Amino acid sequence: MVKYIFKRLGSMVVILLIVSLFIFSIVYLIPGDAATAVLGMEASAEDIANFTARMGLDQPLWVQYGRWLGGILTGDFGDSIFMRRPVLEAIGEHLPPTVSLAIFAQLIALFLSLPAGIVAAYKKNTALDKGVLFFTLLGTVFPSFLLALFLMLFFSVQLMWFPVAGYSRLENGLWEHLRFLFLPALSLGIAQSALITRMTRASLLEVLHTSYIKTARAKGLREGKVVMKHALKNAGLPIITTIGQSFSVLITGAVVIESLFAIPGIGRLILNSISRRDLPIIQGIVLVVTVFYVVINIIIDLLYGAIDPRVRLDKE
Amino acid sequence: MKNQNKSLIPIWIGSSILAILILFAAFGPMLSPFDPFEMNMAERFSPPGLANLMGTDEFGRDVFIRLAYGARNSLLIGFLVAFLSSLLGIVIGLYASYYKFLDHLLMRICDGLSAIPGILLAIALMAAMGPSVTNIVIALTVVSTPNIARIVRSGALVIKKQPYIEAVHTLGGSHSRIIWLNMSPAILPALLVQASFAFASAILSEASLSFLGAGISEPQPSWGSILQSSTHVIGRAWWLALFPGLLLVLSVLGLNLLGDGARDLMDVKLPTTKKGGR
Amino acid sequence: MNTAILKKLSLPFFAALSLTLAGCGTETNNTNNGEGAGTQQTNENGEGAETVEFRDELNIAMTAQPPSLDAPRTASNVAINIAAHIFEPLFSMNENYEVTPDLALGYEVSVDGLVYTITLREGIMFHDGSELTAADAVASMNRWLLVNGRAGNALAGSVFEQVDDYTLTLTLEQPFGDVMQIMASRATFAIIMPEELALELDEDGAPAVLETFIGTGPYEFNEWRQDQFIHLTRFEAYEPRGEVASGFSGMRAAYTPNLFFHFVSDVNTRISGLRTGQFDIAEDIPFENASDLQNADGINLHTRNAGILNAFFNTTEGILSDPQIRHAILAGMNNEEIMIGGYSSTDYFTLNHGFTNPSQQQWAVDAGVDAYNQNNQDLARELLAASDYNGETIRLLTTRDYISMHNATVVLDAQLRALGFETEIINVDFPSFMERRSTTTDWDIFITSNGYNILPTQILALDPNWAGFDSEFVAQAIQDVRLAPTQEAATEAWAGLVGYVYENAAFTPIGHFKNAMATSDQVEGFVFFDHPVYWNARIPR
Repeated sequence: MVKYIFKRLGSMVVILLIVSLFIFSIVYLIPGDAATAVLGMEASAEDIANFTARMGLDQPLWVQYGRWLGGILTGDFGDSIFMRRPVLEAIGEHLPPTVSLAIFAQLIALFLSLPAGIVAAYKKNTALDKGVLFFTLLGTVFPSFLLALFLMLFFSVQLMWFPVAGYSRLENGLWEHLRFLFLPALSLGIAQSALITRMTRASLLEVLHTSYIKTARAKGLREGKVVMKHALKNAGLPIITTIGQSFSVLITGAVVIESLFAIPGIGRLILNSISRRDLPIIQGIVLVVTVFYVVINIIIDLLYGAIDPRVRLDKE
Repeated sequence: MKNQNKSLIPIWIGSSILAILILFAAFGPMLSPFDPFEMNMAERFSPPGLANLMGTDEFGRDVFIRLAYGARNSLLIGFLVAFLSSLLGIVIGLYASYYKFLDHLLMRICDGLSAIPGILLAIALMAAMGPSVTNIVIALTVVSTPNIARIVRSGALVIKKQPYIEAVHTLGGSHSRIIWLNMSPAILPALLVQASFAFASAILSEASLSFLGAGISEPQPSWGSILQSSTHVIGRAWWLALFPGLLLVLSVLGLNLLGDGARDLMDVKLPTTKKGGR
Repeated sequence: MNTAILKKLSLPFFAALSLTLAGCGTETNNTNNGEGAGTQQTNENGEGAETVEFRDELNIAMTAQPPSLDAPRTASNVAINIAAHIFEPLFSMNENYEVTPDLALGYEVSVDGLVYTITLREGIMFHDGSELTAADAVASMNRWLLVNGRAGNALAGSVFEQVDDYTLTLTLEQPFGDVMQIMASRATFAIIMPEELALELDEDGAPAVLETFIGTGPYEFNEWRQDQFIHLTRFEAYEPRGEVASGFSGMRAAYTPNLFFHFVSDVNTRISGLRTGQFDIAEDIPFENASDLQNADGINLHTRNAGILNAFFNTTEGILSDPQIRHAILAGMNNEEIMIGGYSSTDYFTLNHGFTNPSQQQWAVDAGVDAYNQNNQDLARELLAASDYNGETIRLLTTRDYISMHNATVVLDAQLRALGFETEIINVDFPSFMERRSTTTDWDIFITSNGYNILPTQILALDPNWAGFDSEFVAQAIQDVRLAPTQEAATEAWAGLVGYVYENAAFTPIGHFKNAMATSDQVEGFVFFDHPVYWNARIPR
């Protein structure tokens, strides 16, 4: 087990190298440079040349990458070109909105999906089940940016119940914080809830036919207790897996949603950084997101390995 | 899920929706007297009505015919991405499952690519390659392939252990014969199901890409770029958001129904995912 | 500061050369445009501040986060706009684009036009509590010549030196007539900071990028929250000038104790924030949205003439290097349609063939008026048929990051196709756009919106690096304008330059656009000049 984890962490390093070199090369190849973003449209040619030389942006790709990699190995992620401050500091500052958004969206998703999934499984093939399935289908096919656009139009522009966009820090009060995050979280959460509902329903259905559930019923336990205690417990693993995976989907979804709702999170930062050609920031975020993604996948694989020895045998 | 009624209804609905959309893309332009590129600055933002069925955009162009032309672009890009990434995915997945040393290399690259949020990868690639339909297809194929490759690989790993594959092996079948004649047919049903999801996912990704301004260039229309132009005027021209939005949802719905139905029908047991990196 | 010593400082281009315009504080100069010099008693606490209570803060939604607040180093409007509330220049422009003293009391010019002697106001405090002296001004102005590319180029070889605690000199190499305009212009924002800050160097020995923001302005820097807002607070020891506010000059009362500049890139967010009261002011409202706001309750829309939308043709390389084809395009363009595409309604633009702000009368010339906006498609097709054009694809480069530029390009593209051209729009992000634009192989036409420049010779469109239009004639004409002995001579040289550009169809203004922004109707004292001015803005409680 420990050996397996080490092996996976070892492969994570390889992944990180591949990803960082890949992203570095792509961004390096994008025409235009950070100088334009910092100095603006009317900057003179000398200003741009000075800036580029000062930031070392005129060096060839491998020199820049080598310098960056050397920095990483000594724990230095470099400075943002645009914000002129340490990358980790900038990322840390943009992390809370994204984390809040992801958690809030996940809570909304769970709040919608667990009851719906349980009811659908339990009332299988009834009109209720069909209804739930239909709505999960809609949730799956509705792109979150479109949902966000419609929610924004209806709740913010027409009804004015929520701010159209923006963000309020948690320190300024939980209520304000949530008010700003509600529509973005709802747009992301609905798509997530569709996935989790399906998974909950499917895994519950499998469990409900097993003999120990039948035994539990035979013992005369109340149906509610059968479902909540026995069935859900045994169907839990795939559901947890889906939830785990959906966190990385949330981070991705945050890119579009954050830029639509003007939330100063990681998604918006990286999108801005691409158009600012702020390579250190882009690299830093991709690194953090990749580690996050890989770690979640290791945990998921470990969980699967625990129930299905075949998987582990194959990898080792 | 598996032992329930194998209804054909989802497949019927799904393929009908798709057929209607394809008909719309093919013949929609003939139903309209307008030119998708012709501007009429006096008729900007006309609401839907008798003259312009779905209204006009900020240049006074007819939205109906632009959506029909956009359907061509959106569906074509989606189809090409699904086709190319399935092709690449099956090659990568099969070889990775068959050769251990390739497995490590290819799967780490796939892990790496799928660790980067798909839309960011696509935006960066588009910025590097420049705007064109070909480049959109390339960028989205890069984003979509790792997922398919991984599904093919995990399916192929199971198939590889099947007695009949071992038998061919013992009989002296060459490696490429085993991979292409014995293993690939077994993986095909799962691949087809996954391809329909990849199709849907590519349509959405193109829309997101255009929505963020990195997609198809004017004056060529796509559903995503029409949606993008609506964000500036959402309080004033709702039809610019509603109609492309509905088409987008419809096409993804159709493809998902098709994929779901096919999966149930063929009793595919392999893991499949929907939508993908967005 | 009750002795309002407003000296009339010449818009007339060469008044500056006409010898000494009075020393500092020795006289109250005659009249000027009635803009209240000395005629109006201004209470330096701000009229009625004791009786009317004002809201504690103003929330302003800007389009983007500035790259820094080092204003002379950037051409970013958001940066200059915020920095102008923290830092002040020696001279600034009033609403008639006349140079008026700001931190300076006045100046004199030597007979040969080479030495400018500038005197400072006394008792001015920096935000760190130190007093402004000539040493600070000299260090700041020399830094300005180094970090501001345009000022450095225009005044190459110039140097500022200290005379005594409150006097400094500027010595030029050539007797340029536009020195005062360059010093007072926001585009080359010459801000004054403490000497230590101005002399700070980076590791390469060049002036360091400002990291601390200490000026003399009515507001001091408080906090910068990345990608969220910049917060300024009122500087309590501020000494305002006595004159009535005009343009960027005169009274800065700072009625509102706190200014918050929020960075809100999405326009719908800015507008709805304004509607819900989250913001009091929303900058940069595109015209598609402005017309919605025009009739909205509780909201005031403000517009100003802002700049020119120009179409540049690639005179160096590719199919458009053939002047005949460029003239065909010029003949066939319908500028009004293009402007409607970019700016939505005739409320938000005007058609004018000039390269400068039409309200700057001295640069309004007739040259080129016939070539502009011909809207003659038959002539265009005729010219095209007579040319060597053979169905080559014309590449129109644009960026969706600037929606007006992009949409105008889309309309021009449609017009060109209607004339019989094969075209292609290349839409990339902004840095890519700038990169491709700088290489003459990568485009045939591009459209940019260029802000007005108070100095015609500094217009970006005339810079050979901008669109590759490198002409000895233009370079010579610019020198002639700058060194002309009289305004008439300068105007004549300018007319020759404009005529030359049109004759060669190197580029053409498409139209002059306005900028719009919106405020809650409770906001008072707000001025939308070349930039929005917030130092007198307030909301009564």
